[in-house]
Amino acid sequence: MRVFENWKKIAFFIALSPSLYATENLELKRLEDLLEQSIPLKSDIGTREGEQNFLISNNSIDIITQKQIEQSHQTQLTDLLKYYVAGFNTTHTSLTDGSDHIRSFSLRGMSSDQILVFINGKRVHKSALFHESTGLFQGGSSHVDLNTIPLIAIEKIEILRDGASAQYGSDAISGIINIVLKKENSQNKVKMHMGQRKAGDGTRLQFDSFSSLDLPYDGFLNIVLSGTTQDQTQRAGLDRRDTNNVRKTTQIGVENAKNVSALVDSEIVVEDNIFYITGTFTKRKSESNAFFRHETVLPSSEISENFLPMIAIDMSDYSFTSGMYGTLHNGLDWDISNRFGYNKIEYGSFDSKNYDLATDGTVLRSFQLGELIFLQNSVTVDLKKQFDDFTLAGGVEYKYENYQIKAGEADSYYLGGSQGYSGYMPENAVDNSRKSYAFYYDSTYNFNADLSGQFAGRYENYSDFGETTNIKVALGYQVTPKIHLRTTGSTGFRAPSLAQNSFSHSSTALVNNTLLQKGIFTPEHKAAQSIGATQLEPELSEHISFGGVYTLGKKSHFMIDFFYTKVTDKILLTDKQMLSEELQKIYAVSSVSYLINGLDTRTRGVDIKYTVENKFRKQGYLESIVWLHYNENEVIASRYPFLDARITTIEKGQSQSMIKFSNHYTLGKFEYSLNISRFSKFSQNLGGEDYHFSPMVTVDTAIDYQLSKNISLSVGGDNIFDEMPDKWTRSNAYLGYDGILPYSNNSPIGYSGAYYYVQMGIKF
Amino acid sequence: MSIMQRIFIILVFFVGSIVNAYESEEKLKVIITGKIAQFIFWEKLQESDFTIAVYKSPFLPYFEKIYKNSFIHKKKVTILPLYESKTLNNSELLQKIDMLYIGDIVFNKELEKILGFIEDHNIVTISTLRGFAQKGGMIQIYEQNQKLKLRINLEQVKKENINIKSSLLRISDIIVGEKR
Repeated sequence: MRVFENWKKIAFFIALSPSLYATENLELKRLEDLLEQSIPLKSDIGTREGEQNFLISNNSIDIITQKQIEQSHQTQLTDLLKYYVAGFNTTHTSLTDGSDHIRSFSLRGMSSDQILVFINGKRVHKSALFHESTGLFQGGSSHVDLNTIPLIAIEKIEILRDGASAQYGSDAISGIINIVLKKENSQNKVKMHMGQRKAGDGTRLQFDSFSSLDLPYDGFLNIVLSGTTQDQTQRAGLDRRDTNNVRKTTQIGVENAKNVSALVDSEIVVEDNIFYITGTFTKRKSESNAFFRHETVLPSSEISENFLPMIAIDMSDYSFTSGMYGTLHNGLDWDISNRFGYNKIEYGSFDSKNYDLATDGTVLRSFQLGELIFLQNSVTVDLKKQFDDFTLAGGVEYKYENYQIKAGEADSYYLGGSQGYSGYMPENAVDNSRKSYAFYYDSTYNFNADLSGQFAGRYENYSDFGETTNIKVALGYQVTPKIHLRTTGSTGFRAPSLAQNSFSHSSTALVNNTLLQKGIFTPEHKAAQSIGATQLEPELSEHISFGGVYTLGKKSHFMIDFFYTKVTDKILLTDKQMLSEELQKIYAVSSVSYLINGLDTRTRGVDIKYTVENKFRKQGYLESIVWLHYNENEVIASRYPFLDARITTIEKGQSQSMIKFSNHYTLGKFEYSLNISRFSKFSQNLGGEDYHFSPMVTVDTAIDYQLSKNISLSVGGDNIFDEMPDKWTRSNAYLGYDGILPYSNNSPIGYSGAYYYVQMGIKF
Repeated sequence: MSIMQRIFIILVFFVGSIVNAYESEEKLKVIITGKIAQFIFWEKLQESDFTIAVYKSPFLPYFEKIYKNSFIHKKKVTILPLYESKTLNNSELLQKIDMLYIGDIVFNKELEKILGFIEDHNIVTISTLRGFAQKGGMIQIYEQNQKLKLRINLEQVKKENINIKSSLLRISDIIVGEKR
């Protein structure tokens, strides 16, 4: 085709064509049309200047709007972020104990705990869960449970794709997710969702309601209720361990779960100030299992009954934020708040046994395995003063954190402990607290109408590891009315979480007539220190990013951002290490894993995003997003002889490139969504050998029909063509193409296949 | 077909049509203020200029730029910047003002004072101030789902002998006194 011979010239002229940028003369428009005009999306992160058009921010920011949340028909926050954000990864694991129940996520290839999460700009507390499996990319971490926040409560989600701990403190290494809740004038709504996997299992029922009450002077009281029941999926391979009875024995896939959430959010106008409260509550009960216990692999011939040990999680999560903001007569904006967050995970098991119990070691029974508790309270004072060309902001934060492990019942940890997951021993029980305070400063200076600079600094002092100071510099330059260039450079840190400092989970084994413990120990445990463990230091990071936005004049823009992040002293769990016989005798410990500042990593990559909205006169309205993300994670230094498997998980364990092509078409009472995602290959190392999993493409689609002014009906599917990840290429009874778990737990699309649903929305 | 050629096709597909622009929010609010005036009839409307007083608003440069050489109700628009509430304690001045746009950072007592000064002077008040319509203002511009909306305190409007066309009332959120 001749057109392609000159395609570069044509593309150049199209890109520069002034006709594309011709702005309509608003002054000639009718009032009704002006009120239909969209105003720019604004973001409140990346700077403390106040809300600003995210397209001219000095930082790389994305926003998912309330409309997009509704159009996606996703039911959980992790899935919503994966639906829209290239570079956001989340998995659904099996046979990984507690990790099966709290979904992990990553942004730009970095770890789950290197993402700071806010609700309305206030730090969200982490889950008490500690991911014990070293085979997962989130292994050794604890992070926020995103799925405690009902989607129906959300006005928009702001995603800062840059290091920002110099502004907001620990954890903001790969970025920040700021969840902004709905405010006043929000539509009351009820949503009912029912779906099932193509295989006929995994039924999900969800009910959400949002109601808003107007309070005087544009105050509001918003109340959200949400309930979900999720049935398990079964994607297990055959259990071939008993060659005489080959069958599926173990459940592999999404777990059985029930979830109830409530949220209250209110702003009350008190004279010239606003008093605000936000309360969240989630209760989740879920069940997964360990590998089927088969008679041929049992340690004692006396025990003949086969069984599938089940692990049950009872999770309670709640938070309460209260505060007040206003402006003094001298123009100083102030905001004082307190946020309390609490997460408790009660571990239990049923249909399990402890073989070592003398009385009922052969009887299937339930065990209370112990509790993990994390609480956090932070008090924050933010101040801001706007001058002509200069914004000066600063504040202080005081944070208290507490982490507890409570031992399970004695039978759950006696000797070998309960099968599937042994209970927490009294030796594991802990009640650790720490305090920290921070001072921060954030200023933006507009050198002229086109050039602005930002400088931020934060001093932080933790009672456990000491102090750290970090800075950030950002520059933004409006080259033309259509082109905005930006660059940032910063240092950052991530404080070792209290869970990482305090978590241990051990069991006892009889070795040569001596009782020895084995498992995960704290870095302060003498047995761990005897083989090199030291107190954890914070992860330190350096960030550079540069990029820009090309606004195509109409509702379309092109964004490109390159990033570089170096993390020093990344914290992760060591591999299991046997102690020498001498040390075993001294510490009564046989093998140890502990947390260590073990690696330095370097992550480089790029995000390219193109957003456009097209109105086809009388033929409808199309909104499209194309988003490409690419990252390279590299281990550049190691202070521990990690197995190759660990390095592979960090460097290649997640898709390096992701492409999203999201479309939403509106025509009269019909709306149609089409979302195509491509995840590049990923690898996992088992037994010293790398296994590669092919790229995957998923297609999500939905049709909505407006039955009446207030009632809509949606029918759709996620991964409608039932794309599945490759199976392992190795043969193995447990993790192999012919094994019980034929898929990698690191698959970005899970392995439960297509999901189809109907949904009804009622406004009131 | 090379990758670059495919990208080119996608580019052409996307830039092919025209839709509503994202406009500067400040500019939009200022233009909307003038448009609202076209739906309003003043008892006192004089033969001289149409005066919009702008009180402590960072939007002042937009008002001055947009309404330079403009006409509302066939009268030349004059923008009158105001920085202190006591300036409004002047009947002669108030006679000239048709609309008063009040900036966001105005405190309750200051607002009460302003509204007290202009009472019975047949002046339309507009603001984006939170709760403005319930605090005794007439027309509040507020934001909802990336769009601007209007809220009108009908009681206040009637009290000041201002007449608003029903077509404006139809596209506005109406409150009477402090109730919506």
